[in-house]
Amino acid sequence: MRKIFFGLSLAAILGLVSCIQDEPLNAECDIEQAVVVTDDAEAWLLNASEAVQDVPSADTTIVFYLREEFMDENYEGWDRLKDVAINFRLTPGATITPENGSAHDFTQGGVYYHVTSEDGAWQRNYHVMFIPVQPLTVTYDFENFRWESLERYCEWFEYSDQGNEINMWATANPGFAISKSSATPEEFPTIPWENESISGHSVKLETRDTGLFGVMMNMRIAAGNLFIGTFDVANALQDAMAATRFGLPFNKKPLRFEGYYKFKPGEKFQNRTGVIQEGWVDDPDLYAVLYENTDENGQSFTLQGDNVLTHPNIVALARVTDRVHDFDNWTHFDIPFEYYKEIDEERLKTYGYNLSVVFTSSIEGGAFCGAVGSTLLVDEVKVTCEDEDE
Amino acid sequence: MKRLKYILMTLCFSAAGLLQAQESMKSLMDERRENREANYAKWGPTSEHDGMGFIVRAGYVIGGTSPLPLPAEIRKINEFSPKGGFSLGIDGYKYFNMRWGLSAGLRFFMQGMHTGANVKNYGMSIVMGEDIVSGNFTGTDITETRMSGFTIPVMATYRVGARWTFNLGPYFSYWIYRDFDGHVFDGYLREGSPVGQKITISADNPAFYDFSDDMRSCSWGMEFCADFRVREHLNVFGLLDWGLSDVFKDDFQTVTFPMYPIYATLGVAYYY
Repeated sequence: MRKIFFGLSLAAILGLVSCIQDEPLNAECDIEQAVVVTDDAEAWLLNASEAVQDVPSADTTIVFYLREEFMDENYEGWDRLKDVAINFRLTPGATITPENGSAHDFTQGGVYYHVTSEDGAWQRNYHVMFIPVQPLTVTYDFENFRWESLERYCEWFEYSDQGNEINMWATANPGFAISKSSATPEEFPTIPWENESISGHSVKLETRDTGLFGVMMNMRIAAGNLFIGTFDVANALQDAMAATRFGLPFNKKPLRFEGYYKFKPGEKFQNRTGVIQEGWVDDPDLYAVLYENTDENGQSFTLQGDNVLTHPNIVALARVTDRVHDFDNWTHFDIPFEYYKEIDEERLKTYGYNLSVVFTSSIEGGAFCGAVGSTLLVDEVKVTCEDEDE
Repeated sequence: MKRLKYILMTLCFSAAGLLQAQESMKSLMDERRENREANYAKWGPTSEHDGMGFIVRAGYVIGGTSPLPLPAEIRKINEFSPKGGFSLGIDGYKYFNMRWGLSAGLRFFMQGMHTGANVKNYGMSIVMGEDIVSGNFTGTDITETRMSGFTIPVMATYRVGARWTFNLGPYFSYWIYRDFDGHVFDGYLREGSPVGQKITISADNPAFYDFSDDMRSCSWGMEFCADFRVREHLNVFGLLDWGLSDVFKDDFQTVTFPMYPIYATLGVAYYY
């Protein structure tokens, strides 16, 4: 008899399980990857790997960089941009207009694509462009910043010699925005700072507590950081070290790294699990690194959090090592690049090296160790390069 | 004339036969009723001797806490195991006639479950203090919940037969201890909506949640209990507590649908 009851109860529970409904149609509508249809990518795109782009989920602008020759508006190569086909990999079930793989004229400011989700309820518009490579600038006064689209925090950019905006600076602010939705703009780890500066604004990097979500994800602090490169928010929680992608293509030989900073350590240094480390004092980190941006197979390569100072692809490094703790006076630094390899001039010409300039308020912030309150101000930074017109 | 006499005689005899048949039928039914009453009396109380008594129940609880019906976003239940415990209680009953009565009781119980499910585009938000992450999660969720407390059932009692009794009625529960926690992993969250930022949550670094403090302490529902008399004074029983109130407080937004506790108890009872 008990068996019957047990059977009945089990049937009731299985009954619940078996009420699984039909699978809902996909609601996402992303371009996940864009591939330019071409046999000779190197002849016109910046490099061979440029033809294939994985599109970050937050981006709705897809840019393919062209070789330097395209900086000349009358360059004959522009003709081929009148008939370019791109294959897109979409969220399963999503549809795109104009048609996937169809050829279009990209000489008139690019083409807009409209993607609709399988369930028809969601849409995204993508702007796909081809533009000449934008050489990184080398003097940074941190006066060019703007709100991100939701106005939660600031983003920094520079102007190229042609007057185009170059989004070369990245911060971990997007990650902080996820964990601390209640944070006001002033509470973000990286903010523009007017009160103390060499001129105009400086940039203020402060190590912040990430709150209960930080505890949940075992990422209890967010060091203030600012670096040349990109921050991959999608990976921020999965693999924080891989989320900071340092460096962008560069075509000059850097010689010196100079600028001004102020630093004061936070009171209590904590390790990743949040345990206070008695007697430990936090330090900032400021460096510039040049490295080869392809691996031995010719695939594009980017330094990330766990190898930015150690990878064999690194060609030269300039790092502030004396790390003065003085928050009353600006400390000037002027560090020569130390070269580990010879520069290959051909590689340099074709943007085969990446440059990154990195600032952080906690030297071990990438591993989520540091002192909440450690504050680094930076201003008037310059990377002096060879053969540069002064 | 002779024919008429025959007819009359036949009628008389058949009427007498009918009466006799009725008599025997009645006595058979009486006998059966007496048998039944005797049988009922043998297996339990009847109105003849007051129809009151107690049942002491001891059982094991299995079941789960679940949304009803399962939302389409839940694609697959990968694992389920009850994490119940024992239940111990006493019911008092009173019969008003041979079949119908009323019972009320007090029971201590332990309930719980462990479940893993694949979800798709599952609207969720996690609130931590004043911070909130909300969006649509696709991936794997593992939930574990445990509760212990007291239940007061008030039920109508109906004797289906001498050995079977069904009880049905509302119950009220008070949870002394309650927790509800879990983690999500092996998937991603689209922040805000399906077109928002994708945040990967890997199996290596899952996101943990704990909604224990958002659970109610009181709940109610319907209870159905079936008793079978194995021998004099000894029952086996199975009962089902079907929760009709959400286990979470009204102002709790994180889980977007109500979750109901549905737990069965199987056990033995001593009655007198």
